[in-house]
Amino acid sequence: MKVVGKNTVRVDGIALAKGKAVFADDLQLPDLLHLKLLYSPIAHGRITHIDTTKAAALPGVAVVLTHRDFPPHFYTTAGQGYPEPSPRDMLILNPVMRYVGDKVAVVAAETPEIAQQAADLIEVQFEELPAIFDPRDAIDNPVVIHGEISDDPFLYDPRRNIAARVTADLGDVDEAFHNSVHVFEREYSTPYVQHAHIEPHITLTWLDDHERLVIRTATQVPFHVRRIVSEVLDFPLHRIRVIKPRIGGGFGGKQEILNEELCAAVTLKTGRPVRMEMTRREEFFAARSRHPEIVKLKIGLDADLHITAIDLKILENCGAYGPHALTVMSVTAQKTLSLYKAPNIRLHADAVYTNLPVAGAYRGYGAPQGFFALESMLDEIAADLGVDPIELREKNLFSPGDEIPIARILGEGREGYEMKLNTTGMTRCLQRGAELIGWGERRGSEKTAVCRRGVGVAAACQGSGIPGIDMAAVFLKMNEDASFNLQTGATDLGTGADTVLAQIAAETLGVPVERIIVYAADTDLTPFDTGAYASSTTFVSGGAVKKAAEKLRAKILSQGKLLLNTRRAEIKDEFVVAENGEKISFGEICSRSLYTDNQRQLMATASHMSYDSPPPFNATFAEVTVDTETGLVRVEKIVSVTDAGQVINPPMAEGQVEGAIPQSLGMALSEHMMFDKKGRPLVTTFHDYHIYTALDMPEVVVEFIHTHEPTGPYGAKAVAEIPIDGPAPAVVNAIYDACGVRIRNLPVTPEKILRGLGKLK
Amino acid sequence: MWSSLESIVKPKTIAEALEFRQTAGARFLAGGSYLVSEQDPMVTTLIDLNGLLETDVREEAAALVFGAGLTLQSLVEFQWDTPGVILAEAARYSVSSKNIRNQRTLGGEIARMRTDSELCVLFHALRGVLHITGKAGSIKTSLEDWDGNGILTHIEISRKTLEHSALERYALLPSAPAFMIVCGAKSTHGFNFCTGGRARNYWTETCAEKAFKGEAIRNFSEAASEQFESDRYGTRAYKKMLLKIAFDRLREKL
Amino acid sequence: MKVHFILNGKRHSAKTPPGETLLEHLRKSGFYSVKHGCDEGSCGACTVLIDGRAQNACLILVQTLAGKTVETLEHFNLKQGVTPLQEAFLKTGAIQCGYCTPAMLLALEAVKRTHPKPDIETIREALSGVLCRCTGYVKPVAAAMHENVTEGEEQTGD
Repeated sequence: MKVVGKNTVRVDGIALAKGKAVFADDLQLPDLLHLKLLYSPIAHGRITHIDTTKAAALPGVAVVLTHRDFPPHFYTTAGQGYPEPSPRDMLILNPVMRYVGDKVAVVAAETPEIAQQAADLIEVQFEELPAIFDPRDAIDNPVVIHGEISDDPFLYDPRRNIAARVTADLGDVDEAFHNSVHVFEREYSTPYVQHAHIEPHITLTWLDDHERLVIRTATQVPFHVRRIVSEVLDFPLHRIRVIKPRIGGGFGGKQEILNEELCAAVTLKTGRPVRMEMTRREEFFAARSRHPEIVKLKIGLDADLHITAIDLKILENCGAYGPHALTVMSVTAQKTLSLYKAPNIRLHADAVYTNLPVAGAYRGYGAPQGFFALESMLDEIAADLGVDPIELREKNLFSPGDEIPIARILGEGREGYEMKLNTTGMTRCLQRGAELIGWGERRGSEKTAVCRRGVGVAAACQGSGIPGIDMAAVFLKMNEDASFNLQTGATDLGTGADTVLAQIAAETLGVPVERIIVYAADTDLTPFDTGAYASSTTFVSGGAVKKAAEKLRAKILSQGKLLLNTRRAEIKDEFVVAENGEKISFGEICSRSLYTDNQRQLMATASHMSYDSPPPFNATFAEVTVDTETGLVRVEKIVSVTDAGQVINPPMAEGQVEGAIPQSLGMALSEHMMFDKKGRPLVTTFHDYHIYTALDMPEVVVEFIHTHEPTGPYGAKAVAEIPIDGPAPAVVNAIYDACGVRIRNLPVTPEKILRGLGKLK
Repeated sequence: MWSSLESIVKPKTIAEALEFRQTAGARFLAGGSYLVSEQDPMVTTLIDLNGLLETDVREEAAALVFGAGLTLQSLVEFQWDTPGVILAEAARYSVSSKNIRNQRTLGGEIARMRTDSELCVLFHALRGVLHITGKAGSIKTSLEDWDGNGILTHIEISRKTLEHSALERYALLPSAPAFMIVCGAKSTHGFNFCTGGRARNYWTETCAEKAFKGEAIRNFSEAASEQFESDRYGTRAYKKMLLKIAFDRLREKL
Repeated sequence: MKVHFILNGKRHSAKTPPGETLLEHLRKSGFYSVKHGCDEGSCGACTVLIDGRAQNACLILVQTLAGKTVETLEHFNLKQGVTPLQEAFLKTGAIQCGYCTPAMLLALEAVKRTHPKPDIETIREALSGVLCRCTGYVKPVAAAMHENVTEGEEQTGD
């Protein structure tokens, strides 16, 4: 292959390297209004009185909107395919406040400062209601967070505060436990953490010359934005255009319709351009976060240490509303039950409402929570039975050709599709990782010093798009110099997707990647794509690109044959070459097609949807130092070995892994979203929310194991999410190796270590 | 946009700066990194001290005198002989962002008296002397005794004390603000200590060199722990234990 | 009040209200390489050079800049093509979303003026004020190191 698997400079690289005006906010609109929100200061309550007179009278204020200005239309902000498998439990503005940060009112003014000042002038009184902060207290609590909705098929049982429930059964779990030689049962939990993309949520809306609504927004899901804004504002979809420029990171945080509907509403009301940029503080309490989960695992093993049964119980805290509530915990279950063979499986998962910030999609989408539990548990079992953790894992892995039964049982909010494992590099990832970390020498080393070193491992699998749902379409057309415009709805949010898609097109068409001109994504100008989530772009959108490029290649060949007046010819180095050696260049074929012979635009479209979602695999190894006097943990080294099938762009794929590592380490060690007893956020700045800086990074070693996935473009699987699953459990397992302390509830804190060591009672 | 701000004045002399300070809503602006991020709506006038304060380190016989206009980054980059390295270290830890250290001044950092500033905790332990110019002229005072009035122009420390000083800090990440800082220095009066971090206030103590062990350390840990609350960094019991570890480690270092 | 300073090598007169930050002023004036990320100095996306040193534009009031020198990435950009450091970023894959890239480049350019061949610790230190959520800093650091090598080769006439 000439392009795939090679280092290609990003197609958007020069603009980004030069800081050009390519992000959503990098333009100036005349007559612009700025939005600010008034947020609920209480965790649960009803608005009993609201007076916006003073706010509206402030000079420079254009409009103040409250719940009275919107007809009650329930929707979900989850940017998912239609119908969204998330409860429709939100209103644009609510008369009921369900968390500190819920939206009370919107102000649009000439400057952000005036808008803020006006928001502060809104007089509002609440009848405060008792609140629920602990997800364990949610079910059947006399406090009901969403009592008024009853007819939503994706809302499980609001009267019991259950947003969603998923169950699954395979075989006979009880019987299997009864016959197992070893049975282990443990509970683990993961906290609220945040995406912390550096570009905040930013949306601009305006009416174009044809009085169509233009939404230029930092989104991962432009087509869902168009659909959901149209629906919730009851504004015709054909009069909405959503433009996705370059995005300053998303990680799932921008798979949400967060401010687009508000900006659009004000633009439609005033006819003026509107801008809403979230402050960093708002990002921390009013945007989305990772669902905290309590995961209970019961695992049985036979005498040969083969897993006989897994009983998995998940209690997911979705916060005050339920975007992604059902699907995140489905993914927790689906991914954690796809790594090891277990003939008997039982799953019970509940997503419950609490009066805390709203969780949403965050890279890994439930899998990091699940693998934290599963991979910690495997480590505990290995320690208890005195076997090597790698050996225990290897014994139980699925093999190529195996059916993964949970995939059929559990799909995206409905039944899934049969899944046969075509390729797995899992064992090789584990073995290569063990070599790179020095597993044999470093594990179980001396345990007497104050500062003790330890190593740990975690394995994981993810998916490549949502099978049977994610769909991508592309349009490809040829120009006279054998360049090609690739128009795609796929959403590069900083991942390099545009480049990967260009590489796939270039490889298929047999031209250098520089000749692929990518344009994405714009609901007016590019074909549909479900968007950038679920690790779908390379696999699904890439599949569409490959199909379209193959079609176009065939057209070029047949046009070439026609122009050469031959029946037999082949494509070679940008020429169509006839059997007799006569040849015609791609450029000439295109020129003559456009202007003189058998005139037509050489172009192709293709759509791609896959019932397969081949899992990428990863083994992450961590080496840590634990100070047994202070309890402080430092991560010294991370080795991450991934099977992503055929890697399309090696440095970019490495970059995905390198960036995922500190996000997961942060969840393990330093990123805590905390709330006080009244549900108010205690952490709303980067001063308090410690994400990794250049000074904190451990040594990072990233490698790939090559496999060739037959269902993926050029053998590719996904890479975006898989590397975020392993670091947290690997660190916790390394801590155990270092000092014998098992942390089951993240985050790891120094105090938990000391208590584990028995130094603090 | 700091909406409440009506003017920024640039005094030519310290006397003029003090004069401006009489205006209601006026505040001194040193580096500005704290002030501008907070944008206090009560502030209407800023008195820009930049260029007014010295930015050098003067080595006098037994003392080092720092100009309050020094940036924290210049403390990091200063060509220290070995004992001064702890100052560079403290400056680096006080804020891990080099961008901010390029802006933040020593005077601003001391005036802010944040307990999670390694520099402030260290200067407490070093028994730093503040040179303050007020309406009535210049005075020298200690960090504890300064009421915040006047302009801090210099900070003076004993070279000898600096030579026998040490710093312990505990943070979740190297770059994260420390939740506990403990500094110690040996002077002619004995050992001086100061604790800080995410604490209500500094806790300072002096004790004779010989007495600094076992029982005393336990008592100090107990006393200092009163400044700490149970928070996301740990319970007070943990903090107390950590203080004892920190004191023990300082004892080793000193 | 009107304030005069040197912006990207040119005399710049700004008529700004006292409360306006340099970040607001620069973006309003079309210097879009300077990004907004937190408004409180924590993320460094708005990094600019003030008298050659990297600082956060969100923490600087324009009126305090009289007589100073301000540089944004636009000052380093070539009319066409890229600088060696930009080239190194592109080649190593140090750019993901690109939002913090201008800040990283400026912080490194500032360091290069005093340390033509910065070691890895100096590079990490230079980047300490710039948060990046995409790269884990691995490739940006590698790019800065890589650029050392390239420059070294040029110096030896290679």
